[in-house]
Amino acid sequence: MNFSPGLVTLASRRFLSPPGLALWAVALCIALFLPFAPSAARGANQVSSDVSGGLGRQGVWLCALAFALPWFTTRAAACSRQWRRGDGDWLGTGTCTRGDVGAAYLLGCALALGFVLLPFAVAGEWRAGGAAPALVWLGESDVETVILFKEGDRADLKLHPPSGAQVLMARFIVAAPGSGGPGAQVRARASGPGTADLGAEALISNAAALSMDIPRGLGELSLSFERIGPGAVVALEGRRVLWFGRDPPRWSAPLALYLHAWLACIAVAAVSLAVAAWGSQGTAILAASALLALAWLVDFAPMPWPGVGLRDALDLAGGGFAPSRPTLATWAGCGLAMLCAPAAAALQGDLWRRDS
Amino acid sequence: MATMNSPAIQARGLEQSYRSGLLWRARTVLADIHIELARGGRLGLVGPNGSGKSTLLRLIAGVERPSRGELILFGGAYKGGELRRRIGFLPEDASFPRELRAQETMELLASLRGVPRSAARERSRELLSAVGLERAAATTLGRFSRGMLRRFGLAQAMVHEPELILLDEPTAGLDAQGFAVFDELLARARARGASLVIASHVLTDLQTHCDRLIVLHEGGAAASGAPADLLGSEQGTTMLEVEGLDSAGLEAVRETVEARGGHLLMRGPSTAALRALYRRLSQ
Repeated sequence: MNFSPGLVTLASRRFLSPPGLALWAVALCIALFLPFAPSAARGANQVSSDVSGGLGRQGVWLCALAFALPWFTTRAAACSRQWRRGDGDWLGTGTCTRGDVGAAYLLGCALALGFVLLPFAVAGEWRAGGAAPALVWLGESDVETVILFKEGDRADLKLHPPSGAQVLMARFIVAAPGSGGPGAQVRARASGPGTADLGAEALISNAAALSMDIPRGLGELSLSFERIGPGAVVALEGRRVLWFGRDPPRWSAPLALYLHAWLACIAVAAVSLAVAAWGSQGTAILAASALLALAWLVDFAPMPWPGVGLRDALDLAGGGFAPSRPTLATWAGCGLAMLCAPAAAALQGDLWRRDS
Repeated sequence: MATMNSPAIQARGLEQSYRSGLLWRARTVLADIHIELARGGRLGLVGPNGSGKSTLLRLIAGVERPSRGELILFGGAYKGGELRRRIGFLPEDASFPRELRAQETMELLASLRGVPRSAARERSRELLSAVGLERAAATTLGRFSRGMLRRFGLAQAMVHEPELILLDEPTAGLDAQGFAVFDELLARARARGASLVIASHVLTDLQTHCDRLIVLHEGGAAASGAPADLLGSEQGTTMLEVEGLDSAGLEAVRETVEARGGHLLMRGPSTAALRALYRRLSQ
């Protein structure tokens, strides 16, 4: 591979062209001054403060993505058009292969993205009021859906909390689907080897969370989930047992959001660049947007496409939690997407041919 | 087997066609081209617009791949990047990156052609100065005039001291000083034994710098030979540039031409006069 730092610099500058920087400034202003949290969410207690801060943080990152995703997708799709409108004449006589050029442009794109997203991370923390979320998301457990039809119904589950976290909190999202009437009282009791009973109770009218603290290194957790009063049917849906750690580091939430946004934007730009090497600019933009929309709309949890991680991170940030950093699978997914661009450029033999 | 005596260019049955339109029909822009250019040789390509000159240069430069035929450079001694390091190419309407400064772009292009980074800076400075752009080294190319871009294009084609130089309409848009710069650069290239291919509509460029011409017509080679044979005898028209004569002397030249049955077609100050005027003004 013949790596050219000059080409990387050129690509970065093209992604940060004056129109792009103007749009970036507008998005940053909107992120800084548009109210994101409704007044009802602003309160004095810890929960309202977390939620209000989370909504602010989420709003800022949505602004960042509303600028970065379309801009970088479009610019990445335009690269091959520039190559076919004259750049190919001097790129084609250089010692770099087409694959090298594709990789250099993508690297330039990644650097430019790193630069434009950084102020949003700072703005997000400012809009969150400077308070770090009290809880960091560690993962979720895939349990079978449990439905409690009548008073006294009970279900027993075995769960495995993530290991290594200092203090854990388990949160069960329980719903009373379609209940327009009175709610139902639900109790969850957990126990593990060498621990006293840990319990939580809640009155469920539509959907609510039952939270309980779990000591560190508990191993297997026995959970008893019981309905203790009359009312509507209650369900603990599959994959709705969430695990959180307490008191994450101050920079945990902005760093996680920054990395998720960066990886997702790079992956989308890489797909756009790859498709544009073979098809038209419009096709490339459509293909990249479709992949992003799929990740947003369809629940592909195990998919390593970085868009999935970004969607979940934004959801968690909006709920007042700190998302966890991208997993290895997400990094690998982004790496795979990044390989598409140089591969597509290398395989396209007529990349430097002039458009007539 | 490739030797130092292998020709710089050997093309046999070269053809280039493009597919386009709804029915994906092939359109042939170059057909059955045979070229052999010895190392140090100077070849001119001439022909009307659309005759395939630029396409042929792009094929030789390696920007495009031929649809058919065989193209061997330097006897096939070099491949990939090694080969590209030996070729300098000035495209017809070179779109160099408008975002970068002249010095930056020259360094980038030099490094892309295999010039080490430390040497690239020095070579870039030297070449920009040679084409009279040293004061514009910190200006972005987007702010260059057409003539400045042409000078820049000439410089970038030579920045890595290539063994084969391909120039597409090198003097289009150049002013009188630019012509002098062009002549100077080509003289330097010739001195180090570089081979040269020029596509141009300017016959004086071809007559001055080429020892053989190929006339392209509708994608094929219609004729080839020495410039004097092809242009002089074919049209019976010769351009004279005269220096140091007053009007009486020029009148005597006209009378001599007419006495021998010829006609003086044009009379006026030469480009050399314009060059001298520029020199005076810059002093």
